[in-house]
Amino acid sequence: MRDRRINLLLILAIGLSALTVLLLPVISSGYYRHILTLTVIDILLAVSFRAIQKMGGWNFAHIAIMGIGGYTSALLTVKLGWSFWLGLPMGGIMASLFALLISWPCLRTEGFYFFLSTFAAGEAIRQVWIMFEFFGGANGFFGLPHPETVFRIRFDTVLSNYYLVVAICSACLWLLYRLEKSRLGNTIKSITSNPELCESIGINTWAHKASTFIVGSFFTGVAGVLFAHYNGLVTPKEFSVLYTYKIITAVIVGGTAAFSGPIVGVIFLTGLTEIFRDLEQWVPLLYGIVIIGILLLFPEGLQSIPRRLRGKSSVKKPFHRKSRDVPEQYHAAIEPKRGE
Amino acid sequence: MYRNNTMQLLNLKGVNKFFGSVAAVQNFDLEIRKGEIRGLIGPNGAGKSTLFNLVSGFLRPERGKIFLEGHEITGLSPHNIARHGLVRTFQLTSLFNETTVLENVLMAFHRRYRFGILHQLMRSRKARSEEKEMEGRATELLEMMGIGHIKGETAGDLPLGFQRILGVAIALAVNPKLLLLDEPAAGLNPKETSEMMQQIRSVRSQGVTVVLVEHDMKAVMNTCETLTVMDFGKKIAEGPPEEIITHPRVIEAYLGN
Repeated sequence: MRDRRINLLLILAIGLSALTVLLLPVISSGYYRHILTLTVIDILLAVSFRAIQKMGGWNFAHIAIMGIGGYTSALLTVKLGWSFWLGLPMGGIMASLFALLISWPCLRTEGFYFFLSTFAAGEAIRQVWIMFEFFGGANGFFGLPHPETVFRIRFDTVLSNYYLVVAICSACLWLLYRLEKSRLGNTIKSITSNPELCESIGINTWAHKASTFIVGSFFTGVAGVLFAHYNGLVTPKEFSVLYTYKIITAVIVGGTAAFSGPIVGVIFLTGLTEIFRDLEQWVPLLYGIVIIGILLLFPEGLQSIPRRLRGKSSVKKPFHRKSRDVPEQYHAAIEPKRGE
Repeated sequence: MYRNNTMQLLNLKGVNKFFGSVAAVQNFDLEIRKGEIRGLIGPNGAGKSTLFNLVSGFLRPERGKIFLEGHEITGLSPHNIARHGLVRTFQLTSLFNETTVLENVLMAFHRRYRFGILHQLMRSRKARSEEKEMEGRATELLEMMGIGHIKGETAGDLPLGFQRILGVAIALAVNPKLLLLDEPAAGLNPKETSEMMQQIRSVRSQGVTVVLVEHDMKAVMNTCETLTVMDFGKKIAEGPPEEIITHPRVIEAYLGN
């Protein structure tokens, strides 16, 4: 009975948000249509960031990988005259290939070193864009075409582009959701929970981590293509590390435990940024305050609020550790005494 | 390739492992026959766990070769060795703590699924019926191990005795030829220990060869046909339990001279 009521609520909530997503731009002004489009792209970025984070690493090359998607499509459409509809999958594929390339060195590192190595890889890519004339140097590329007309739908207005972005991002989100709920997703979860046990039962942990990174990066690349063609330009500045910080802030604010976490995070953060739009120079400071506040009040992010309200909190505050989380070096001390 | 003797399952030839200048395992030879229960004993720090780590691929020997059924497995990664049919458990119970007992076993079934990622994405009928079938088989395995009644519990919340048995169940789910148990009875009370030994004997009766490291001498004596004794990384004695307890070098290793 209770289950059915929750299901009904869930369907209602999804229906309402779908309606909002579809109708909001119609009644809002041009500026907000623009913000909404970018928000939807950010949601895909944050969700794919979490997908990669789930295998155990904070990937600081995320926006560089997104940029690879954008740059690939820019080169193909502007220089070779390809269609946007070919550039879209190609951007994703190139992003995946780059992830494959850096997964070999980067996935051999863990934790702190993983984000250092990915940070370096991402910056290296950005410098390549700036230094080489082939990539348009510091000015990047202009004049990326709008998506070509399909089924007599034209994509020359902000509104039509918004719906295109929503359609493609929803499809990607659905795929990412199904992947997480699949057996593959369960395996990834097990690998983060106990990598040694996984190896000992015959799971190739490295291959699973690498494929998560590669698949996650495909969707990141797709987001990059959408972003590039929506703006009509790609520049190294667009894909700077500041953008990475924004996505990471959104993921921390929303929480990584649930699929909805990064989505909530992006919406919250965008709302906050818009409220303080006139105080633009304060925004980075605001991000910092928000991260610290969220980590202290809701260590599992905003997505944990409904669960906490229902009193089913499993939240571990940073200063209260469960006995099971004793650091490894103390294991010997708590090991049960055994007779010789 | 090493000459394949059909009676021998595991073969170690002059295996060496050093940690810095300390020899953890030194010129170690070992032969495990098919279908036996072998006990590996020795004082703390004798190198028993290091030996397990070497055989299961978590450590790489500096010298020497390891064969499983005549195929060399030296230097393979742990998951490859597991796929060859050699599965180990860990000294500190190692489970997927956040998931249920049933899900723990299902994870170890991963090699048995036939329908791939597309079926899972579409949640096809085939994938769902396969999922049901696997759940049935996992339940069977858990009931055989005597923990079928707790299959819905979260693994991390179980008492230690059940956790240890679940650890063995996970290893068995991989369908091993050779099972390495690292102190399966550590921290268990006498009743739980005898239950565990009972389980190990029934595992062997299904055709799985077992090697176990154990400190509880009484349990080892009643379970194993042959004991191998290690001290300072070397094999100091090998033989049936009755012989081993009276062996002068074993007494010396345990009690000093």
